[in-house]
Amino acid sequence: MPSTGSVVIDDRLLIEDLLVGLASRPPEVHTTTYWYYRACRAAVLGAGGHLSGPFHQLPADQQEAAVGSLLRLPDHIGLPDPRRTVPLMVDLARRHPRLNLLNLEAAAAARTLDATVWLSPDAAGGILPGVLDAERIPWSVPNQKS
Amino acid sequence: MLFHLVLVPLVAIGDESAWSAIYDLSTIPGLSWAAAVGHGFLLLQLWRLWSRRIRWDVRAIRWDRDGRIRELEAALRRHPGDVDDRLQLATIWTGLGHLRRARWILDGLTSDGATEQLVVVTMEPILSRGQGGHGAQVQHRPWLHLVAGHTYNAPVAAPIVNAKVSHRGQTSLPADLRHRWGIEEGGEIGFIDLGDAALVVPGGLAVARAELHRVLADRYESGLAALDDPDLADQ
Repeated sequence: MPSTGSVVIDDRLLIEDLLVGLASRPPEVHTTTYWYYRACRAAVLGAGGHLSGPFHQLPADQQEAAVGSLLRLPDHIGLPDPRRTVPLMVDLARRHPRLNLLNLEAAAAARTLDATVWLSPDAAGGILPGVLDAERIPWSVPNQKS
Repeated sequence: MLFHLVLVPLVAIGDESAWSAIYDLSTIPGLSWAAAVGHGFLLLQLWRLWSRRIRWDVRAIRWDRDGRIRELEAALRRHPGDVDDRLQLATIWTGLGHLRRARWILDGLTSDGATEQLVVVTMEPILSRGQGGHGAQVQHRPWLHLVAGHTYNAPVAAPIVNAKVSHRGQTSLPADLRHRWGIEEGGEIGFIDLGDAALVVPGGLAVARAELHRVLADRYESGLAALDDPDLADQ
């Protein structure tokens, strides 16, 4: 099934898009609940207490609050409706029992939205691309800003 | 004279006859007036000592900041030019309400052409000891954060200010900040919601986003590793 120009981006690309923007941005960008959640959690855990510049002397907990605010999902980035993705995730889990929830939702979201999955180089090295190929869901690794 | 002015009143405090002996204007008017002047001077000095130092030390101890103040003062004696320590010390004194001391500490910065970028006032929860053994209580008090960044040479005229917000949400940025941040003719600032407070960032949110992006380039993977959840792991 051909792609309509929508993409589902993973957590690393989501961070990139929220903070500096993607190098090339398709008309419709979506992510998944798990990728969004992972982006926020990992960013808070990784950056909280380590920021300088405007955050320099804020306590770690307030730095974490600032990180959370900066990663608030804008309206123009879509999230798929769980009413549609969850049944697909159940179906995918039957065929790919080792796939975790993060990757099950990604594949289900792309299928629901008839979208291409955009993966960061780190995610493209895992098992998800193989599953997407098996499910005939298009995916690619987009160019990123330096 | 010292005995007359200091020791006698201390030893004979509460003894009316001793005070009558000191202030015997009919018999020893010169000495009595000298004692009055001396006692007045001593009381004035005691008041000044109280208002300038002891009162604030007591407040620092009460808010459990005395240890950190001593550390920072010792650090500044060793390295008077340390911007971070000076800002931290000024922040603590500001939070305790001793704005004159905070300003005096910051004056050392401005004379060195030192740095300041951001002023944030938040309401911080502070645990205080309960009365009569009723346990700790949480109170909130304003706390000033001074964030180092851009070089400037403007004096800190008012470390904290209030601004009114109109019913349409409009407000004014204090002139000191506009001058320091170089946006006297207009410019952009960003607001970041911290829950109980907001961070005001000169240059707009792009500055804050760029800083977060810079840190996450190195630290995102360590944040991922800290998640320790198989359903969130790369497979």
